[in-house]
Amino acid sequence: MSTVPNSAEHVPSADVDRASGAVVSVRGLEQRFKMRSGTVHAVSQVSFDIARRETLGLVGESGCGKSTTLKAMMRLSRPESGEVVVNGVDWLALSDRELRHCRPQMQMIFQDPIASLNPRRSVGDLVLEPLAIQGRGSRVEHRERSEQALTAVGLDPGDVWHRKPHEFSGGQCQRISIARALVGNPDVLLCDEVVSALDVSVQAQILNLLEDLRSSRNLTIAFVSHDLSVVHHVADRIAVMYLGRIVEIAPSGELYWRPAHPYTAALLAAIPEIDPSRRSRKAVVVRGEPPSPLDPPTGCRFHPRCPRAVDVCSTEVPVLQEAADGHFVACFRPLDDGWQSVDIST
Amino acid sequence: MSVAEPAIPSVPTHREALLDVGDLVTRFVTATGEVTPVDHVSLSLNRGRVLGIVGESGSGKTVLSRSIMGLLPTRSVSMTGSVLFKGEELVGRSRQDLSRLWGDEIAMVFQDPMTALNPVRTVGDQVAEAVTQHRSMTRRSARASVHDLLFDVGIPDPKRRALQYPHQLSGGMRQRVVIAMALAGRPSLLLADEPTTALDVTVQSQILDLLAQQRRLYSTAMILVTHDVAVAVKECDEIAVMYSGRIVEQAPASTLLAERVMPYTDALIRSIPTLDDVPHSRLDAIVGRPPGLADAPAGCRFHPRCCFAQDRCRIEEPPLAELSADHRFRCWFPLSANRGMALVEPSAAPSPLEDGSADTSGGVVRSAGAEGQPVEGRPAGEVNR
Repeated sequence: MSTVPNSAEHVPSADVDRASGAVVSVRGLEQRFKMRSGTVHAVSQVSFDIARRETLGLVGESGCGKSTTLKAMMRLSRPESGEVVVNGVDWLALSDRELRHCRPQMQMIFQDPIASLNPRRSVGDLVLEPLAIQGRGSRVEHRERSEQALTAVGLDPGDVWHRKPHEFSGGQCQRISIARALVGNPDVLLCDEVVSALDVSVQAQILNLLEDLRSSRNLTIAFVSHDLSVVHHVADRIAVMYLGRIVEIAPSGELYWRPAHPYTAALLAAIPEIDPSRRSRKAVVVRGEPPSPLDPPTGCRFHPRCPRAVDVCSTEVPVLQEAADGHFVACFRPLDDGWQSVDIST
Repeated sequence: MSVAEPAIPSVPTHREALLDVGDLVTRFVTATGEVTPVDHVSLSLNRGRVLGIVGESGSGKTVLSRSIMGLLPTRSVSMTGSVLFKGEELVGRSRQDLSRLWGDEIAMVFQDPMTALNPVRTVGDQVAEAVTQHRSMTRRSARASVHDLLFDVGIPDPKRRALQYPHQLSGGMRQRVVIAMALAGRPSLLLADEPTTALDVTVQSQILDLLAQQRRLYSTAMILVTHDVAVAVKECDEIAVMYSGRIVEQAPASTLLAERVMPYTDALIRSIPTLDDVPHSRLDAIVGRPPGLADAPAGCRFHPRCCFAQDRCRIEEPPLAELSADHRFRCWFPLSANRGMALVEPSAAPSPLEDGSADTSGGVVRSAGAEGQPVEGRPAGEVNR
């Protein structure tokens, strides 16, 4: 299906470290927003790696900083500190000019497929634009690669080229957005709630498409969603965020069957299961809603809602520690035995 | 296009039925012509029961719930059929007449609590309005019952909260306020239109639990409109699946999953990712997208996306048939109760593309529809699997 050659024409300065496996490496990412009423700690000390061809899921409730993390990685916002190393280059240390050269390596797709496409431009223009900005290659080449990208996402270039976004459905617009992100042959794709605005039946089409593209183009993906079933479906590993911090990160299966952080357990228990026989999990009820990131709680940010909280939780910040192979949790009182050790009813 | 159907005799019209909707048709007159978002819908609901209406966007589920309540603008909307509430006909009644029932007998909870509340009035004021709407009482006793109501829906410190404005409350708190207002008149029917869609998953389960608890307390019947099949299965006694203005399958929630026979219901359920899926596996997607109101296809509305569609499906719309007393469906070629096995071999289906990936439950929506052009382009190699 992928007919676009994986030409991997990286910027010379990119010291591609293919051996280490990690294509994306985020370290100590910190994003704050100053407001009149105080400082929002949107992303605090977030660190993770994503290996080549791996999909990392980022989950959490609204306001937990999952989308802000992606935007900070893309440098769509200005993070206070941290590193975002893509193919060996720290994006946060680049000048705007250098950054423009690196941009094709990492691309982002947004939640609202219709709002993220300029309604006055034709589909062909929209998909071609990233190549035009880069300026490499001839116009004929650009056109050819754009058509290949459209074909790869299941659209007929001849049919859609001159049409405008409003003529398409949400699912088709999301395909156009994906074509636009893929036309420069990125290594890394950041997906921000890409199926949230779509109907279930269309959502499945787009998830399948992303899966095909991931395997045919060796994409490395960071996938943000509030829908845990969707994330579980696409991700190799999942990071759970709460109020700007990663509280747990583990391989998908491990996370779902042996959650260690009480928040993760609560989040998973809240998923409505379609199959009644699967609803055997113990009820883990958290009270209330996430507090405002304007003034996050001291210590573990989850402690005011946590049924297992003890004194230390309100004074000290737990750090991510390896609980099992590849399973990290930031908690003073983790669930040692996953669901088995869930003994909390209120 | 919509052939008038004879009233279905099978619809149970128990004496105790709280709500009886018969052959309801809602038409919108638009600049480009007439559209029919609700097309010959019949259903009935007994006291204290919960009916789920499940469908994708544009299936008519929201218009149906508003038609029942009589909330649609009278200009440019025409309704035929009947909505019997406690034996009283609601169709054709004036708004003024209907508003007597609103709050007291029928109440509604909307999707977005922020737009359902008035941003420039305090929460307490708005709940008080709901309390005093239908009965006269002193300010003091109104205030007391506002505090009680807010406390009942799980709002801590109700005295303080009552003095706040909607923007000072979180999304979940706002929805609790909306529920308090809806329940203020102790209605016998609650219409909840996507009450948790705007909320986070942990808050969603809190709100659903609250609705269930309040419902049990006052034996309120509820119609839950949702796009989320899992939520419907968990919360409802009975589920009606809507597609393009029609109820295409209706069954008890406990048996719908196991005994679904309408290919759309089956395909819809299969397209939902579950926690059993292996990462990177493919989902059973449905080709195309739900039809728009103006371009509902002839024959069975689902036929362009159905892999079992045959000539008959393209021409003739199937009637609502009965599988058992409480299970109805709309399909010429239903899947057998042992789901996944079509009663009739799909003759027009092209050879399955990914036959190697045989599905243990039988490939229902595996092979692509024979119907030429799905509305939405399908990437090469994207099989229905």
